[in-house]
Amino acid sequence: MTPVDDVAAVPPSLVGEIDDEPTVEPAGSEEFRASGWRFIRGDADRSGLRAVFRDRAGHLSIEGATVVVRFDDDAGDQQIDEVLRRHHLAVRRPMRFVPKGFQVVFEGRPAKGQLMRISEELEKLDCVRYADPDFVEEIGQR
Amino acid sequence: MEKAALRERLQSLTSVSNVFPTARSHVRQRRELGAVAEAVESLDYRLLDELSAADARNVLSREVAVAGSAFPVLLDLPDAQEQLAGFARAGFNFFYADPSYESDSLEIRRARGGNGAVTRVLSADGRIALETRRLVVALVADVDDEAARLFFGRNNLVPIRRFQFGAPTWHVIADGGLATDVSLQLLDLDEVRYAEPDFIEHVNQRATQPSDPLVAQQWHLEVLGLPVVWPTHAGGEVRIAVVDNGFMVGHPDLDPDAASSGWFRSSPDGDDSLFIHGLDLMPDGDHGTACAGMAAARSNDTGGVGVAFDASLSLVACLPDQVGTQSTLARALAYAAEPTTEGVAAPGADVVACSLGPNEATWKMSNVLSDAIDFIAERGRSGQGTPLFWACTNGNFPISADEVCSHPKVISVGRSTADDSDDGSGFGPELAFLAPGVDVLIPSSDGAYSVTTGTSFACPCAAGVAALIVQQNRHMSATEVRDHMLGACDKIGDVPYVDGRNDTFGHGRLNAASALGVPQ
Repeated sequence: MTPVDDVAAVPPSLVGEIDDEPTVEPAGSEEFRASGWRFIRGDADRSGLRAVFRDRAGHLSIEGATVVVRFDDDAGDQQIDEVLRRHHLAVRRPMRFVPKGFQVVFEGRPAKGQLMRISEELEKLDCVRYADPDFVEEIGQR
Repeated sequence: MEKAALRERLQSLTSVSNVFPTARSHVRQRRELGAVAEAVESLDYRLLDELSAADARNVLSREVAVAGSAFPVLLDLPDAQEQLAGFARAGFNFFYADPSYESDSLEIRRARGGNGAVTRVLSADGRIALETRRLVVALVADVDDEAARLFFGRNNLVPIRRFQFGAPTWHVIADGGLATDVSLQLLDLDEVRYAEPDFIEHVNQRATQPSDPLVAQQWHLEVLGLPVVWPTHAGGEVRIAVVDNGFMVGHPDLDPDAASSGWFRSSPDGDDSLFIHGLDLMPDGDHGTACAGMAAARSNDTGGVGVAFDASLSLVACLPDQVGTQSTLARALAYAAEPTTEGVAAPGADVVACSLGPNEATWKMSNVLSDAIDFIAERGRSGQGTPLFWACTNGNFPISADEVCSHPKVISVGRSTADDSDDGSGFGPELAFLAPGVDVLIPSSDGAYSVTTGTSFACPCAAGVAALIVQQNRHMSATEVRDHMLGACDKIGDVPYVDGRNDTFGHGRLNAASALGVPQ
């Protein structure tokens, strides 16, 4: 996926804070806008904004608020706690269908792109099988 | 069924003392048994005792001391009336024997007019089971025929036939004891996947032909061969879960089970979800209503019916505005197969259908969604795996670009028309088969029915057929169900099938009658 650097996504809960900002309408954003998301210029400097991505097929995705981390089967509770604490992450919920899998959130309001960077750092650790940032995407009906 | 659950079920069986069946003969040769069945149904104990005892004394030789009809005693068992009438119509009479009869061998019993197959009359949980010497034994996957032969020899079992279910499963005769006791001993062995007596039971024709007024317009039911399947299999005691954006839970033809249903309420930003157990306030949705109705709309003299109209239905809603995260979708799927993943103690589905996804060529799958699919296919149904059906793209694109439908454990379904053409949905080696999904008449969110088109509806159609297969053989793994369905497709279209498949048609168009071995 490629970052769409010139656009930032505003979550519905923050839309009230951008009344004075001109919005943009990137291609493929209709469903997101229908769900309450707004898009503004990407160089806007405001916490809580989300990075926007586009895949090769043109689908738009927005950086989510959580990361799903699956630790190695041998990882101990103490080691998991330590890794999460070091990255300012807290467990939102265990993913009970994923061994050693957790959905985690950043403690505080993450800066735009911050969860992407944290996921990349986690993926470099031997005790982490994967760390996927959640993306908000359009999942339609067939 | 898990070994522990099977062991528990077998241990709960109790023998009905001194009650035995006579030799079985066709009811036309013993007209008294037809009258016995009617006396059971009308609970006319005096007539029943008279007719049954007279028939027993007539059939059995003088060496057997008949103390009277056993029907009055058997009728004291819970839920026995319908079963006993069924047994009588099938040619079984039951009598009270002198205690010495129990010690006679089956050969002696047969020579004296008794039943030479039934060792004991057992009962548990409202079911009457006639124990014979036959068992069904499934061994673990890596046991070959020679190892199986040696295993059977060691355990005093005589193999009669190997079932063609994929896993190594045999019909055997127990030489060294009562079938239930032998099954319990076998369940303790590591080589045994399951072992259970092949009881003679009354299996009622719970489902016959639905009389719902729109059935005649539901062409897909006829194409699948369902009218010949329903008299014996309509999905009873099987659970189908449909994962979608929302459902009309009060549709007159849907009867969802609240205990196993639930929905994921999106956070204000749509980037997380809170699980809500049950059906209260579940979002409505035309698409989900149609999918659920295709699989399991009730037979109730209203509207039409679903493929498996007797199946239990679990509704799982997520991403109500079609914008959200794959981790929420993953949770919804995992919940459908195993509700404890969201902390709910309710039965998981035997079959799961999902018709969500983009209709363009490409869909990238997250690791957590892949893990959820693995979980369902490997851990569902107490480790047997839950078959997971997914609608492939409606666009004429290669399915390989859709990482979800390309997942090796997903059964990817395309749509077929009433005249058995392919209608241009996704194609490629990942396509399992086609099922009816063009101009099908199924429930809609206005409480009525409407004609609609999409792979979305072919998918729950296939899931409904899978429910019938699971009903017929609950021991099939998810892989076996899939393989069974692939092997039962009609080779439609004027195209060559190489190794049984074609990229546009998959293995062909699903045929429920063939899958259940019912002649059409």
